[in-house]
Amino acid sequence: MEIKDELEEIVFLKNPRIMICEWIPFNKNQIMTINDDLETTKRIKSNLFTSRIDTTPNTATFTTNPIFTEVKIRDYDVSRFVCFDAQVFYPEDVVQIERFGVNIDFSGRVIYGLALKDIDGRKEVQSLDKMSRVISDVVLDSSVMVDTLLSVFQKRLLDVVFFDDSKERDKFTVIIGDEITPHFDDDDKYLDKEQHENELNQVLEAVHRVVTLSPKEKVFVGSHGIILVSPDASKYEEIVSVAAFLYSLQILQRNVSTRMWILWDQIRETREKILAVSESDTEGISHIQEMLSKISGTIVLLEEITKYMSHSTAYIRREWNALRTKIADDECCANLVEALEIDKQAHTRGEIITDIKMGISGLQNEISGLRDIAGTIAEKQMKKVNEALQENIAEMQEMTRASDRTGSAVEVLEIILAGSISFDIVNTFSGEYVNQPLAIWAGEHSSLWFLIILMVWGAIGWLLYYIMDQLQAASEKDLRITLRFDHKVDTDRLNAYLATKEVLVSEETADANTQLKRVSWKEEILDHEASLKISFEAASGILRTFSADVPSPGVLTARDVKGHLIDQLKKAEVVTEDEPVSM
Amino acid sequence: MGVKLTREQGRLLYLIHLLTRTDSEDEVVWVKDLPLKALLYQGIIHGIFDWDYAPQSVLFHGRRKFINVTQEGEDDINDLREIGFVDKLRLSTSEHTHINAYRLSEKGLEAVEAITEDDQDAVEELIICPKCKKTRDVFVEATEAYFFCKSCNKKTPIDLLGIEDVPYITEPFMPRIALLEEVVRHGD
Repeated sequence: MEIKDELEEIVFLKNPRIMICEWIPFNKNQIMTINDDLETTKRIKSNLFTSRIDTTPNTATFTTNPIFTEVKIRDYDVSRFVCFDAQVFYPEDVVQIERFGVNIDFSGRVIYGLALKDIDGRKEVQSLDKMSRVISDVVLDSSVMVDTLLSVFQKRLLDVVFFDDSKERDKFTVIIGDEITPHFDDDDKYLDKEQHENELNQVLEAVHRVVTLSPKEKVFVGSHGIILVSPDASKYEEIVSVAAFLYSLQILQRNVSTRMWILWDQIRETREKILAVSESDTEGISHIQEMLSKISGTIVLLEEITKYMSHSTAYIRREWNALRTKIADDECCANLVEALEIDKQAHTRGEIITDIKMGISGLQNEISGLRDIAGTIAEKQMKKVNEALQENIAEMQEMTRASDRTGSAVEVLEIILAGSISFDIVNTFSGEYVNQPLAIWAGEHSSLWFLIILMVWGAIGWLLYYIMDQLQAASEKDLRITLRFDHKVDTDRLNAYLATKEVLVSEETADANTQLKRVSWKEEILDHEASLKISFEAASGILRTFSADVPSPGVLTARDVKGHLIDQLKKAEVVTEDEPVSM
Repeated sequence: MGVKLTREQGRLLYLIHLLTRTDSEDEVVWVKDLPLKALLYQGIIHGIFDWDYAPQSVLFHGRRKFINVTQEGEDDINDLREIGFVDKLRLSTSEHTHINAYRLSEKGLEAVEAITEDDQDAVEELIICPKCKKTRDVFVEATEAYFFCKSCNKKTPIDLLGIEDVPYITEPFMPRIALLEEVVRHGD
């Protein structure tokens, strides 16, 4: 795609060199791995690289797209650094011969350096307008190129900071030129809030200050880059490489901070969801726990990055201290150091690392608190499920008893039916009492006979009722009454009450948050023996249930038993008149 | 009035006015930064604004992206703010980032009356649907920016994220790095 607009080029640099700098978490182990991957120790120090992964290791050949990076090793130390030249072969719409030098060292400083030989047919002097387009291209291409060398862990760290889109991560740009056109002796003329400043902003994002180092040397400092103008810039390269490290780290730290604020937002959303979740919404709490796990994972990775930052800044301080002694007598170097605020930057990077550590610690504490809340809700939900299960079991037992009673009734009916059939059969053989002595007597004493029939009916009815009652009693093993309280009581009084009982069983179930105690004993309720059981949380003093099992159900009603249980607790002053109770 | 606006500043003022004008007394309308950037870029492509643009890395829906940004346009927005014609609002987004939004101030509303009809027509041409002649909305999504005409139900892309290539040739360049020389000479 070619430029659609006619550019108005204002500011030019002679023989521009561009350094694209970034900070990536590195240590010596990872440098060793990169040296292995690049085969730096081999005799032929040149290879082609691709991001393609061989997914068919058993086949003899494979095909790739035409995107390669050619790497030629310049210098290396097995565990400390590697410098190489890379040429990127990407299919572009226009001719782009993109060769750049790459430095990766164990401090995490990654510099992609390139000298611009030709832009759009123009050599030697280039405009900032055109350079801005080259820079955007190199920023993207360098990410693709270095991705082929990074470990999965490093890529994951970058993805966490840059929201899974690390390819377009922002980098710090250093542009070095022999001369600048137009050259103003008055630095403020570059900060004219018009065309010159606009042009500088195209490559520096927001230019902050312009400083003259010597009559022919200037430095322009912006939010995302610097421009160094000097006919002999090589003497500043070491200073610039330290500054590049610090400003690159600043960019990453800004992104880490942004990530942390977003995590706080996500935690706030999660907290709101936790507070809104219903105790019966098991799906909701499971989703919340998943969200908390994801946030926790991100925090762990941010903590890892912070450790890398701490190590890196320690190394760079050592480099800077050595360099400061070396350049102490050079006034121009001192001007550059002051303009780039290297001492202040080095100090600030360390302070920001401390701030990030504090932020991460805060996030971890917050997550821990939310986990506790979510865990408590999940536990409550589990208890409710258990209670519902127990209620269902009790209901099923009651249904079974009802079924047994129905069966008994059917048996009685069967007996009646059998009797009726028997009488019918007898009548078939004996006739309808016609001309029989008993029939004659009955006819003569009809009122008395009717009375006798009623008495016999009554006797049979009583007999059937008695049999049915016995059968029902046999089907109902016992009467069980459970009172649910779920509120705090006076533990001392409860213990005093229990001390008056001959306890048969006492058991405790404890987990991280609760300690449930169950105590059972036997006593008489209205002269009938019953088993009583009480359950309460020993630590918090919350009375859960009080239940009674009466083995002779026919003699006591549910109301009798409930009244007895509540009276017991009230007499012992464990509960008051007003406290609610459910059955 | 006492303030002389350039042609571009006048058109920019009128563009913000078109996007934020409302008849309601209870509501205030603001135009967001990214859609405005998209319109300014589209305006340059169609010759409505005589500015340059260049790729710049910006926060785009919470992620870093290179988009075409006009520094002159940004500068003119700042100029209009400086003279009190445009108000800027900074607000949080649901994507956990902050954005800027703009509208005309009382002074700006008075100043917009002085914009010439030619300039008004040029700006209206930018946001009016060529088919039905009704005002189009501008949307900037995570992967694209576009005009949308409700009447025609038609999307017209704005190539805000399309960074233009220039042909170039580079050679490797490697600056001297103090720590590395030290390491090579003396070890850790």
